[in-house]
Amino acid sequence: MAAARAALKIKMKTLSKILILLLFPAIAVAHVGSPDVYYEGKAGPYSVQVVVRVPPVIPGVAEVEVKTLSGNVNTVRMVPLRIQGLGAELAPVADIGQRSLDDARSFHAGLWLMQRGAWKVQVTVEGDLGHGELSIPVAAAPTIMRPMQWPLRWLLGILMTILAVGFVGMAGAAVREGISTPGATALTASSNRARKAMVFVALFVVVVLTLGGIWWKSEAADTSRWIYSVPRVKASLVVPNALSITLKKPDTAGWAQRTKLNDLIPDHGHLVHLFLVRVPQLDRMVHLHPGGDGSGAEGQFLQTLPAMPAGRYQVFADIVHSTGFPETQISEIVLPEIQSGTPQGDDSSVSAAPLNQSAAGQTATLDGGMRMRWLNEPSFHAGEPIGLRFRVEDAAGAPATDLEPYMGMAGHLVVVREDCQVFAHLHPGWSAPMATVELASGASAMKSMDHASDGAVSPEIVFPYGFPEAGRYRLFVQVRHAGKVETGVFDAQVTSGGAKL
Amino acid sequence: MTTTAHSLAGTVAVEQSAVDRVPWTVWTSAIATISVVTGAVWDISWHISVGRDTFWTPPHMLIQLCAAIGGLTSLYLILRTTFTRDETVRANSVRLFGLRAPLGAFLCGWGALTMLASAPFDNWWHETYGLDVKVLSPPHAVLGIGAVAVIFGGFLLIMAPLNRASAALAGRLETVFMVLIGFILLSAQADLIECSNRALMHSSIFYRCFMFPFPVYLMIVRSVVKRRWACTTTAAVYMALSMAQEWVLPLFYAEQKLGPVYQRVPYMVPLGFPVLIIVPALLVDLLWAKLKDWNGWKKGITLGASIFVAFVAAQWLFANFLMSSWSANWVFGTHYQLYMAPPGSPGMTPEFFDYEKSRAELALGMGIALITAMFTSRVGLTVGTWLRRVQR
Repeated sequence: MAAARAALKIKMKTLSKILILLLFPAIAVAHVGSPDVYYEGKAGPYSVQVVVRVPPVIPGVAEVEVKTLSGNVNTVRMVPLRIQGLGAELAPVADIGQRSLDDARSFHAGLWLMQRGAWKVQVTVEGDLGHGELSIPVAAAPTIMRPMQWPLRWLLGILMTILAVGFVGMAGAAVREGISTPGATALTASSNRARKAMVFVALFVVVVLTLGGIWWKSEAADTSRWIYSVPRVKASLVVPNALSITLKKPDTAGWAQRTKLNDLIPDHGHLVHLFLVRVPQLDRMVHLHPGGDGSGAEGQFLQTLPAMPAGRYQVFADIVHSTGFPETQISEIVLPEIQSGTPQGDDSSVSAAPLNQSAAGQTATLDGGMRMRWLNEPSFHAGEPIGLRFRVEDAAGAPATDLEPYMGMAGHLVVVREDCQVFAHLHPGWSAPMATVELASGASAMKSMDHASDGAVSPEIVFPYGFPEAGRYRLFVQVRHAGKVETGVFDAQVTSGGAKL
Repeated sequence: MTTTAHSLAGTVAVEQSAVDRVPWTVWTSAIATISVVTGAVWDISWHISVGRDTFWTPPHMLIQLCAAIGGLTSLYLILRTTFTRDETVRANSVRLFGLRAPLGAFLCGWGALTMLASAPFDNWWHETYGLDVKVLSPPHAVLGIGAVAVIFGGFLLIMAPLNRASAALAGRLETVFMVLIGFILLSAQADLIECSNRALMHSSIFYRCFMFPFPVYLMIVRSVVKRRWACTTTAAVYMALSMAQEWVLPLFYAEQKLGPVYQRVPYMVPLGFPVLIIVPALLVDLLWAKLKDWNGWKKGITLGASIFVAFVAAQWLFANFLMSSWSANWVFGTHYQLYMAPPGSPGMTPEFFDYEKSRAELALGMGIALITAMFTSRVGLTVGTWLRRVQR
């Protein structure tokens, strides 16, 4: 009934709102400017790498690439499902992945995501080792409304002109000759009537096109209500050294109505992961976990700051809703110097050389003579799936054997582009938030995942990811050693043009 | 001048002897109409049963066949008529931008080009606003306008020879015309699927929707076809076609290819049992003998009001039956479900949905539907009368 009502109600919206939305930069939920999901894990007995390229409009087609790393695989099936709620139980017919001509281990499918919200892509692998399955969470939200490009605008404009002129001309021909006896020549009276008919029909065409334009704008305005805009978290200093955080809803009408701020679920044991990065040099980063401020107000958090130099900081706040829908909220704040305080619990802080002064080194020095090596070749292309590989070594250069889990994971990686238009908080195995992976996979499946909760942490950590766009990036790699969070800082120059999985 | 007139009269006489054959353009028009309507019904059923499609699905091919037939027929007739020296052929044509062809050929070509133009527009629409979840969208409207133009161009290609035809041929052409209007009424039912649910049959929205197309086509048929029971016959054709889709489509297996899937629906879902347009059609036929000489507006208002009253009376009562358990069978098909609607959601249960929130709102909506019926009846009479006069 709602569909019937919506289909018949033509609502006038202002064009200015649409134009503002058209100017929004590409944004994404769960991270900023980095919507695609990268996953490396086990589908039963098979090791697989999965990339889900999320469509910028919903309903839209997500491009899914699966690369199998073990076993002889016959078939890979992929299907989208809601993570929970209505429609989460019944799967549509799965797509059979098309095997790549270039790489027999790679499979591709285009999956239709028909609604906004938290989805998962269920991947089923069949081969000589039997049957394996895994689920990858995907946040579906329309983020852009592209204006029509000029070649298409011109093409449609020309066609519309031809059709309009042709229609008016046909009306004239119909009145002038259409009802005349075959063979009779047109009379002057008929010609006059034809001219009048053409004027009338021309006006009719103008009215129809105007009404069509109004309808189009109405549809565009309806769509714009659901364009996801990154919420602007409110951050303010509570003297002398506390930071007050107020989470916000996205400001487009549809999302504002739908989003709740009292339904957050813990991700690695915390409702909010707060990152402050000093700009423009990205030379200071703190990773904090604010708690409730005691007021009981929705979305209200308070965090005691560690010692920090004065400056302008970019704020990123990662949260996960109970639906499995993740968000990163952003803000900026200018802080005075915070003179004392050390990070507590899972909080951490790191200083580094300014971005424009740092040599693009492959080794970072940690406390106690330990080192962190970046094992990838320093050549990165936008959109290219890659395992960002790091190894922690002790003072003697041997792989560290005494790393501890940091919030249940072997490590955390924060990726920030120089202009802060790209931000991602990654983990070994996947680029999605842990809480959404748990919801997508189910509790039983999580037990089989190696995410270092048992205390055994490998010194070599791999973060599957793909830099979304070209530019200069700073990477903060965090591990825990001897009860203390250690952070290795690296820089990467990413060029345009990516490759497939 | 005298020589020219004499020559033209001669060609017309020759042509008169040839018109006892059904022109081939009638058959191309019929195929185009039947293919696009069948394609549209199948496509909607596909979307509400299977969900996902590609450009190359059979229903899409049927829709595109309409454009292809319309375009090729148009192109052939325009080239042949423009460049021929056969005065018989040229005498039956109109001139447009230096080209000559029967009026219907130009309209068919215009329709085909419009359908073609809708393709890049629709593609851009998907990329900008998302894949379609609604039947009614601007690019689909452009496609629909193109298809209607091809169909009406076909009507003109039928009407011109019909208006010049002998009684025997006219009878055959009228039969073709009524069958094609029956198909178009089915197409209208398909287009109105978003407001044709039985749950809306006690709301004005249902009648506001149906009073747009149905009076137009009934009045066109009534104006064009001279038979006593023209509207009743056409409505019977529509009822038969609509019942055929209602009974045949569910015989085919379907599996959902789009999520979220709220319930398994293992059959192709039909459009729904036909609306009882045959009741107002019968009334129009009964009234026509007395009203046909009235002026256009008086006739339109009277017949429009009659159609509205008869349709509301019949459908309102029939809706009560459709809500009963007696209709939950293969004949009336009210037990069919939609995979994209959770079980028990509005429209899926035997309960009326109050689209209007008050009696005043309902009365206002019904008033709008009544005025719509009067206006669209008048439009239908005008179009029908004009079609009856078309010569070329």
